[in-house]
Amino acid sequence: MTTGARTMTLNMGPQHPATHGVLRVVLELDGETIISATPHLGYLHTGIEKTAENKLYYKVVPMTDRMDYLAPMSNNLGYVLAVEKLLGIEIPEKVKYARVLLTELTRLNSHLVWLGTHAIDIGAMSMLLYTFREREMLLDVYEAVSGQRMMSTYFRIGGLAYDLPPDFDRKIKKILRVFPQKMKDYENLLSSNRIWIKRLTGVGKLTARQVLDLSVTGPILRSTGVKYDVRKAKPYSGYEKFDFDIPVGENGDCYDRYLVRMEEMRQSLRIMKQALDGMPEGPYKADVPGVVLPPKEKVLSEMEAMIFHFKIITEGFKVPAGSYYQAIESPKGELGYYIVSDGSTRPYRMRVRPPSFINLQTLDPMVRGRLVADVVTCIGSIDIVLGEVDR
Amino acid sequence: MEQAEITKAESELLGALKDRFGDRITGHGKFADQLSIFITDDIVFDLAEFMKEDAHTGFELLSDICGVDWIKCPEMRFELVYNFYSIAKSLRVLVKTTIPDSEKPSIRSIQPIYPGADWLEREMYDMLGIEFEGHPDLRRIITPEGMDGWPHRKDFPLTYEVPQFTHNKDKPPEIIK
Amino acid sequence: MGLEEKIPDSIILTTVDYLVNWSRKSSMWPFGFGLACCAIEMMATFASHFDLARFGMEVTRPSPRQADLMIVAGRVSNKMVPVIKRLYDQMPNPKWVISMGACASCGGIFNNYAILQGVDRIIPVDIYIPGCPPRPEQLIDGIMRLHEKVMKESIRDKAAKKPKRASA
Repeated sequence: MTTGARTMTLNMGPQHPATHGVLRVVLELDGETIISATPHLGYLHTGIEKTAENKLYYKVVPMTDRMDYLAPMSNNLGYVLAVEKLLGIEIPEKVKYARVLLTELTRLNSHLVWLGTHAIDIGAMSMLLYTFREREMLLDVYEAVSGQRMMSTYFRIGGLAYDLPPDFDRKIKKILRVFPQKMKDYENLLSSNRIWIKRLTGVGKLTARQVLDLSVTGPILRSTGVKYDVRKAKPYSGYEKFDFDIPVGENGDCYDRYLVRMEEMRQSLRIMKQALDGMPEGPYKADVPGVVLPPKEKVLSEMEAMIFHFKIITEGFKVPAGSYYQAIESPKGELGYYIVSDGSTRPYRMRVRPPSFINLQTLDPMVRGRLVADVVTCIGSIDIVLGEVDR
Repeated sequence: MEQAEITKAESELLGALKDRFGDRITGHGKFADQLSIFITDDIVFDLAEFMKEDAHTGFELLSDICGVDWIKCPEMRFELVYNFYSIAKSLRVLVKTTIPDSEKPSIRSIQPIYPGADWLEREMYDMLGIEFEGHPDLRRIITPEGMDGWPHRKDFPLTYEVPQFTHNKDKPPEIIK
Repeated sequence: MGLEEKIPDSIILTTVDYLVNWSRKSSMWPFGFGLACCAIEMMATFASHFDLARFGMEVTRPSPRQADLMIVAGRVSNKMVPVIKRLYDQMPNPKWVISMGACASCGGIFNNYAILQGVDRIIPVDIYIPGCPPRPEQLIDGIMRLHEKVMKESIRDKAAKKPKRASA
């Protein structure tokens, strides 16, 4: 008869209420202590990068919406900026301000869903209902601007799809007026709650060295003390004109990540206010005849505009050969688009640097030696979106 | 494509690399504030170590590894682009290398130096079929296990199914590339 | 003179079909199978703005053994196909399936090697809801049509479809 320690394998399957999508985690347990946690991915693989090679440049924009489906406008922004850099076209000022405003709105959107689902995983069920109620205000703005509640595809190559609607100011002012009080309500509920503090402090502690080695960016990196934000390091789309702070944590545990994201929401409100106050007048599209669609009034009256419209829609436009990597700060981390063009009307290779995929590598170091309930806390704190992990 | 100007920090980096590796650095180019350096594929491991540890460089963050399939040139078919970033200097560098076409194209893995390259290299193996020597656990990560073929290669068909309307709904769906 | 006056107040007249169907549709428990973007709109439908609890469906069971209605929300990739088939088989009768969104109904905008072109290739679907993603009102409309469909079912037809057991 042999004696010896044996470990138990527990499968948190692809269908699970707390894995935020179809993520499968295989846990090796010794009693209730975790020895290793291995994520198995690929249950939502969509082949977006391969499909983008067969489509014209402007047809890829709706597919980028569906990757990180909680922050759709920031995915659009990364792709559109990369193609505009390859084409070498100049964007009007109004477009830059509108893009910044809507991207910060998207950051609020994503962090609200994170807060709701993280809290309901820990057990605070009413937070989900509160955050989804606030989210309806933001989805109202999306619908006013583009007609669609979530996947708006509002940023196009060369500018915006349509002009900003007349009641845009009123809606944004309502959000700026209502939100600070709601954030105070959330903090009253959670930040000094004994259960919340006990479940989150000390869980998933990582050092800055470990996190940098794993190529992780975003709130996880900032919670360990490293101040890296693409908006300040390599500003894009006019971010250098805005005045905002970058929140940085100290300990690198789940509670610090919670505080970092709450503070990021406040900074987003600050940027939105500056963008709304300083928005200049002007055209909502760049004036580049072969690439950007002409305005509809001209298409219906002038012959030349109609020919351009026809050619762009059916044949597309050629992008000069070359390659460029554009990084933006999405709510999850550094989202990068590396586009290789061979001079034709379709991208030769579109590579997306997915922040959630790379951040998920920290799950294993975070939960070693801890209990099973901490796996749920850590998955919520990493803030993954499976559409981006699997693409 | 016109070449942009090279800044002081970038020319220092190029000088340090040329001192260490000599003629293995086959060229460099700059397009719109982004520097690319071309190297041969046998020095990838030493270059990664140099980029991380050396006092001149200090690139702590490996942002991304990307693979491109240039099917029309068999002697440099797979291009790997390593994306290094230095937080202290706000400097981004793309290091590009090519692997020739063969039965099992392979290159040395840089996972021992940058542990974050673990899943990035697994994804390159999964999508393009490039083997990384020295990787601790090389297997498919995103496509189903047991799948035949490497999806991102240009000779793998997209498997587009023609939608069925009333005129062809009685036949089984037709699959074209 | 009508029959209604002759019947005392405490008797209800009905058919077994009607009673069974009414009880099934009034408290159908959904099986939360959210895969991708449509899952977020499904969560928004369950939240307070478009409340689904008023139709008796607020209890989402994570286990398939305790659920009646499977809402497939999101794109179904080829790696997920055996998982969906196994979950569908684990659900006990009576069960219904709603395919929510364009990707679950017909493959959506993704027509390539990785996505199954419609979940009805592996499991039988009762209601298809188009949209990318469908608005919460559209999802509620689909659920209402499913309720109407349930009210028209009859137990005799369902029993006739059951395979006969081998006699002992």
